[in-house]
Amino acid sequence: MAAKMLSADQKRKVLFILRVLLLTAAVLYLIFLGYNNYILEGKIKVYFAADNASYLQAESRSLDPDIDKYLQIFEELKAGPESDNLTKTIPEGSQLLNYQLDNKLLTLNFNLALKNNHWGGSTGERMTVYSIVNSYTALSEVESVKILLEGKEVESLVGHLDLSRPLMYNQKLTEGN
Amino acid sequence: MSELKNFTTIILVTILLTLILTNNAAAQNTIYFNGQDITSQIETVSREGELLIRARDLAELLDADLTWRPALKSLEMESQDVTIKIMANSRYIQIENDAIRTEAGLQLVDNQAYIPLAKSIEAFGYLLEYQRDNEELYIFQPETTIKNVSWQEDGNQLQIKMDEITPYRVLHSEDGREITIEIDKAEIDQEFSDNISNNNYYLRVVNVPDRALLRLVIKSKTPIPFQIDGGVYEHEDSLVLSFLPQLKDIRISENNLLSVEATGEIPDAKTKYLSESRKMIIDIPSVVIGNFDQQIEDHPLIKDIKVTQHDLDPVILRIEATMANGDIFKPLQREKSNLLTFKPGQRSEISNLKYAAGSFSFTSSSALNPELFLLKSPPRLVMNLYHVNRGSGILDKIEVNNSQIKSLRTARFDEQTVRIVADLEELTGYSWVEEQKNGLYYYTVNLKNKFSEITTKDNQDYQYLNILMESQAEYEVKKFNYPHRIVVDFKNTLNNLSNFNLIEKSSLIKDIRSSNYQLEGEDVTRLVFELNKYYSHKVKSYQSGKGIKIALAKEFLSKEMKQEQKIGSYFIVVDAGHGGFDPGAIGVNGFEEKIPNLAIAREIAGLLADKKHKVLLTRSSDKFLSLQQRVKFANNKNADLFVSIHANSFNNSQTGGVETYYNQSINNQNRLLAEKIHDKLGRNLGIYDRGIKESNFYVIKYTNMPSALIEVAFLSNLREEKLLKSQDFQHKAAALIVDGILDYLEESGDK
Repeated sequence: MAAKMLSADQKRKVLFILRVLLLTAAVLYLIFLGYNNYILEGKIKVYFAADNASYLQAESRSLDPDIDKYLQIFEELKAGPESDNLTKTIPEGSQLLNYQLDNKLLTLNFNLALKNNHWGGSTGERMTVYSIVNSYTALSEVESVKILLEGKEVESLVGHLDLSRPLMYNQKLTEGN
Repeated sequence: MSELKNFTTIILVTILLTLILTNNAAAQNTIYFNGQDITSQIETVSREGELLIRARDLAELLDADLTWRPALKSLEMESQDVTIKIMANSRYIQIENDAIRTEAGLQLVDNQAYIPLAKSIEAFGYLLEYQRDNEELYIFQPETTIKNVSWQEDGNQLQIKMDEITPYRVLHSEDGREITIEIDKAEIDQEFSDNISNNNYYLRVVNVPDRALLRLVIKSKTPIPFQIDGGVYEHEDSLVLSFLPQLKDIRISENNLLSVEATGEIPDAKTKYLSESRKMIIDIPSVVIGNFDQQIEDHPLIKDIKVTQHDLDPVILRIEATMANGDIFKPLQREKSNLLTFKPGQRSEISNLKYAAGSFSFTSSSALNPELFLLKSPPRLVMNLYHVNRGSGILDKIEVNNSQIKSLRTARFDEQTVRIVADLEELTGYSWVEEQKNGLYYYTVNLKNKFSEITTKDNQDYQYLNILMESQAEYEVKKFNYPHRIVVDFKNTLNNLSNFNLIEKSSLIKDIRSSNYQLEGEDVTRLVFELNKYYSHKVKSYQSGKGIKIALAKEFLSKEMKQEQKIGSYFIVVDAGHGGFDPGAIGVNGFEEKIPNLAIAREIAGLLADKKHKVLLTRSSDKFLSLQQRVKFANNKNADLFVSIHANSFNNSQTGGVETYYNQSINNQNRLLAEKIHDKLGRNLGIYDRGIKESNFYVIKYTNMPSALIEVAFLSNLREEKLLKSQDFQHKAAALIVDGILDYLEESGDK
């Protein structure tokens, strides 16, 4: 009702103010986006088991310029979490032998220690596999991860999870979801 | 500084005097220097009631340079830039330009110079503590220096700046007018000036000579508003004492606004009007009276005003204003946190008195502070409203005649008060709510609802529970399982069930109970019907919301029988995880997963076969099968159901519990199966319930029939490894899984 009583002049003014507000919001959003990207650049996320292996929680690490990013992620996973509340998911002796990124599909080739030194169990396997998958798919260039052991395809790591197909980021297992 | 030192010196002398006079044998004292017993390392004598130490020993102790001038019979000792001088036959110790009087002065014993211990050591800036009980004398180097004591935050905080915070205590006198802060092992800075008293507090710093501590004593004419809990905090190297704000000023402005100002933040005040004495009471929490200005005299509005510290625990300041002509003060919107403003109130007008079942309501042009109470004979609820006039729609009497209210009457009770009386059928509880809408205040008084009648009835198909209330009920019906019960929660309801005859139990209803509890701050009366089994139920209301009818479907009574015929025989594949060269997870004590997996799977197969189902195991011995082989086995045989049995593990021995996995499927049968199984396991297995989870596990992903994978317990958990080894636990797990499978078949069996 109030709007109808506005004169044309007032209307123009209101519209102008709205336009300015919209523009400001847009600019702020862009700044925010840029800032976020800038901040995230130079950081990687690595996932560890949280809350008695109920879900995964990420810790961030600075990118080490002296080492390949993909190798660094696995080194960080192997080194384990900084927080006492999180648990490491990679068995001793595991090595990322090589990797290949092909059209957003990352193939990771591990040595057999990842399987042989593993503690087993559905929970144990899920935590290990998805801490790897989630850490790598957190990279924008990786969409899915295929795990090989010493160059060979496997149906599973320790007898539960289906590794015959590439795996995608597991949102459900991530904290807060 | 020198004044303070002289003052402490005098105290020190008297104390040491008495101390030494009562223990004239000085050798009895044990002397500690910085915590070490040095009694045997030093020579002491007692002269004229003073304990003397051999000068040489003291010099060694303090690492001081000692100079003895035989010609002058004078002694000089220098340590850390402090030089003291003492001459034979003189009672004074000279420190720089100052002199301390001692009793004995320098004494020569066996050609050795002895000097007063306490005085000399004090001159070098050490602290003494004498523990009378064990005759121990402690000499300390001060551990902290009080640099400055100052008022902060408008006099609401006292900041004690020191080098380092040493142990301290805060002591109160009983009347609250004195606070002492004792700081251990503290000395006062040379530059310290004792000018911290202000118009509210008198503050003094006292050196306590025979106890190595400083006392800050704060005194006031009025109780000191020290915050008993949380009044002291440590901020960097300062001790900060915060005080409650004090009343600064009460005034009434030209436009008749009453303002109350304090030295700090004031919480909102509570106002009350006593119509008989025409007194307006303003209670302000957490403010102390202090020295304040008050410039209200012979005001046309206020005859008299009185300010008192109404209470100290909790702290409440009370302003009592006797009003000249029955006006009131109403609090205004706050503008400053340390200021309360009140406006002389105009009378509100009430209107639109309405009633409904068990309630009545009216509106008011401004906020009211009604007073409600019940009177017994005849039963009625009285509501006093102050400073109101009766407006439109407020009749002297309304005949209501509903189940709880007979009539509503309104009348002017006195000059200030309008009274609303609800004549009741019988006394009951009540509550009132205020709502603000479109500048009007809506007041609703709700009489508590009551139970009128509870009956149970049944016919061939249903068992009915009928609950009839006095007025329209605000209720919620909930169903709980294990134990099975129907619960009805009533809001704003009086629990008058004790007046009722015992409600008849039936074959379906084991027991009926009621209880009262709080739910999100509201009183709830809960009615519980204990059932002996699960029945599906329906809820209907009747008698325009006054009655609640719950129907329990009886057909489920014979469900078991029916189901047994209906279920018939199903084909179930039970998969024991791992096997052969693949042991699965290995327990803390080496127990291999493949063993309990097979034991539980076999048990399940046996129990299902007993129920006339056809069961096959993927492996019935310790042999290896690939995941694909297991899936093919079930798919090729066209099984109706696939259940895989596993034991869990994680690299944290704390982790434990049971979990059931399913793979997301279009028809949700996988989830339903997992739910049914886990419903039994989670509750009854006796270990932590980790819940049901969705995962892309190979065997449940590629099997064509409804499937689930159960991780019974953790081998990596010592307690659970032991359980997994025990036959009892294996049997229990198997039985629960079978219960779940049968539940699932019952529910989706008629496919």
